[in-house]
Amino acid sequence: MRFLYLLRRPPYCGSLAAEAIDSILVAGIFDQRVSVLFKDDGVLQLLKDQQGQLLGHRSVNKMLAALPEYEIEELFVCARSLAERALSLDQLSLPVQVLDEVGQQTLIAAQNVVMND
Amino acid sequence: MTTLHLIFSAEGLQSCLGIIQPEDALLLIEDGVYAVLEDSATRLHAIEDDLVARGLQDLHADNVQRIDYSGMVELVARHQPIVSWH
Repeated sequence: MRFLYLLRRPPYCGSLAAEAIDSILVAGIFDQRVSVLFKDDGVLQLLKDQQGQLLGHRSVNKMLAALPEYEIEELFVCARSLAERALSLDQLSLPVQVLDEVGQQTLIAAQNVVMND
Repeated sequence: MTTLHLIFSAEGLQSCLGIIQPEDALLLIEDGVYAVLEDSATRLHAIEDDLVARGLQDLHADNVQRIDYSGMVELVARHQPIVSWH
């Protein structure tokens, strides 16, 4: 089965982002083919140097850093969402592939299941 | 099978419109049905109860097809994957 997690929430929107990441890690444990697409405010989860403990949360970028250790390495980011926020790849905490609209269409069409945060 | 997009909000619709393919289906649900007030050429389905509950039953354009919950089940069964846009 191919699972895509479509993450569109900012990192400290309640605990939604953290719960989604926990769920991604569980899918990874079950040896599913898991990919993640960061889109809209979801790209903000990837910013470096977050200090989530100031808000009583785990830092979302540190949670995301566990993904490659769970062999979840297909990480994608929406080109337009980065551009709209004037962000570049060197400001992000993980290596991600940038996808344009067509790339995102192809990614979604190839999935069995798409999950959200 | 082709993709079904479940649209729960105006922001969700905006985000989704950038990456839909011509054969994809779009279903407006909950507050997503307010998108019927926007002029659009995109073919849309909308949950009838959500339209009527919000007083939108006479306000939608021709590009919107009203469906009930069993219609939604049919759409869900005919498409994969299903993507939610909140």
